[in-house]
Amino acid sequence: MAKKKPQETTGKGMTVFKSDRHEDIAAIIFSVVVVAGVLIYMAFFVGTISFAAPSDGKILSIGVVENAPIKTGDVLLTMEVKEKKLVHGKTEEKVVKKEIKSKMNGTVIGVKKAAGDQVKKGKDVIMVLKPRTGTLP
Amino acid sequence: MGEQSLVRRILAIIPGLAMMVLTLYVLRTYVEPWMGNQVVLGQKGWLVKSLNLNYILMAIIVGLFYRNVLFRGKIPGWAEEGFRTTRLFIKTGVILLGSLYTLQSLAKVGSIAILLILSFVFGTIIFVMWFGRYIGMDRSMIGTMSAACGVCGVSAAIATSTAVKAKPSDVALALATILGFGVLTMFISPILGKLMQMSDYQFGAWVGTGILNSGQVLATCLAFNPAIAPGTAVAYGEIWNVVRVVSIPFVVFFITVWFWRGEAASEKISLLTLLRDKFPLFVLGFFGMTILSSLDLLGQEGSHTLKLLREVMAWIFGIGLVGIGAYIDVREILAAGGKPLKVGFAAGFIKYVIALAVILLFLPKEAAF
Amino acid sequence: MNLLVAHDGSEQSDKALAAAYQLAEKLGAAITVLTVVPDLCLSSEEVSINECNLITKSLYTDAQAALQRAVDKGADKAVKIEVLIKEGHPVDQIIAAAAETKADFIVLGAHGKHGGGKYLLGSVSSKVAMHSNGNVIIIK
Repeated sequence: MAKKKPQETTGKGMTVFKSDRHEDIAAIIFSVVVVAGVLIYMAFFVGTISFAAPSDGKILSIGVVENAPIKTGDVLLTMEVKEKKLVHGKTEEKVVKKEIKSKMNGTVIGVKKAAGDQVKKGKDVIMVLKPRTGTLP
Repeated sequence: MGEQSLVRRILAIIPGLAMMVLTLYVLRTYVEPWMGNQVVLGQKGWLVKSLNLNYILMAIIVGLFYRNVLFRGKIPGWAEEGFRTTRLFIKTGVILLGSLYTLQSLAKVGSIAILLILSFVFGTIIFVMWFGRYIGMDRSMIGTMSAACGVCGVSAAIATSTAVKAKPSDVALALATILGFGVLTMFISPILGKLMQMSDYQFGAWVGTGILNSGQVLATCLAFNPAIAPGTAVAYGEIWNVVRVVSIPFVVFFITVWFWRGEAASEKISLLTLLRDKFPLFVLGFFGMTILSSLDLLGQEGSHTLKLLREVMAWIFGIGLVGIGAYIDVREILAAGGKPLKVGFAAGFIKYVIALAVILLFLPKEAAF
Repeated sequence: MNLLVAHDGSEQSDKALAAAYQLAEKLGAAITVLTVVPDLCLSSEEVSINECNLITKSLYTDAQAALQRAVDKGADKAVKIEVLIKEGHPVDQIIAAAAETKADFIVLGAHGKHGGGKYLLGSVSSKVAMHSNGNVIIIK
């Protein structure tokens, strides 16, 4: 009539973080590392940036030339786009002229498209830019 | 158990983590573009557009497949630690999402969110308390289930269960119920949202209003609209989610007080202790990112810096989502039953439908930002 | 001869245990009483490490208490009794435990405490009967 004690609780084994708090702090550190990494890369290490079309449309004019310097706020190009607006609950489409301004300081390395070209959002590269080192493009 | 060295711990997570990263890489680089080019029912990319089968849902589905088919319901020891890092990735992703807001926009959308969430959380709790009593569930279970359904969180359920002395095996059933319902809504909601032509704002609000847990809110919003930017579903949904998560200590306190009918409550629990233990610290990281973004330190809207940051965020989420899928044990969910299942499904379904009605009726398509 | 009895705390499993005690006495067999505890730590990504440990501990404590009560019921029988707690899915763990303890028979109740699942999937007992390599005795 032997009775044995029930098995001891098997430990949950190894977990990377000792507690929830540790995990939270690790997540915060991870995000800081990610942000710092992105910022540092963009400020110092990124070579050239291919500037793709920000929306579907037609290029009306290009505002810069190759090898020219650009500043934040300079007009890079003007495009004709179809904008959807919600007017009184109905979606209306309007064709508008948009000025695409530069968000960075740097130099224009190359211009790939010309006035009159139709471009697709995200797919067609309009120009290649080189940001000034130490600034965020 | 004992202390394990840092190196050993890192080595332990590599296999599972590598599996998740590799899966996401294959999905984003090969599978999603391929699916976008398939012509189904006469429309190119129908799979991605109509069924919302972007890399988000596919990551979850593959994770589900790993857990339930490949590994037959139990994640093997060599992959366990790696898959556990999912939580880290999701938390990091949420923190980084703080960069989508500025303090002003957060305040504007946040106030509506707080109002909606609190009314839904406490409304559900009251419903569960009534319904549970109506079908004769015992009080501990009612307390636990109301926390679980109200905040729709595993954490809330567990925290409450200890305070109201519920049986852990019953808590297990409650968890399975919430999870099961959450998984269903995760796949159905984006389709419903598109059918009803909800805007990103409305969809984010609906999903974030405590229907699903943190990971599922992210997944569902991203499934509806994979873009990570201010004004997208995930941007709105996340605010709602953050408010919900922050309300957990308060909910636990409220239910504990109810359970002990106020008298001995102060002995059992104190709000301060609860806040200290249960307040999700990573939310502070979220606000930190919002501050950074308000100070324009992260680059201007439309800049390549922000684009890269958001691309990185998409990867971090993607990896986490594979893990979320892998955490879903279909057999365990189906094995649950009895009263908790009925109450859980009733509360979840009603909340789902009412939230939908409220949002469609009262929330405009465009938000403050 | 070894018997493995699966016990989940339900009335049915108590009946199964009582029947197993009778059988064991007659056959001169040893009994291992098994409880399977669900593995909740990997049930949701929302379960933090603290919560995982908390839940596991309470599940084990519960299981141990239930097992102790079950064992005490057989204290007056001249039967060798051992207890075992395993973690995971009931069907898998019962079959694994049977192999581990080299059980000649698995004894379990016709249905346990799981609710809705039995309508969707069939009960634990029928699945064990289906998948087990050894003999299964189902107590009604």
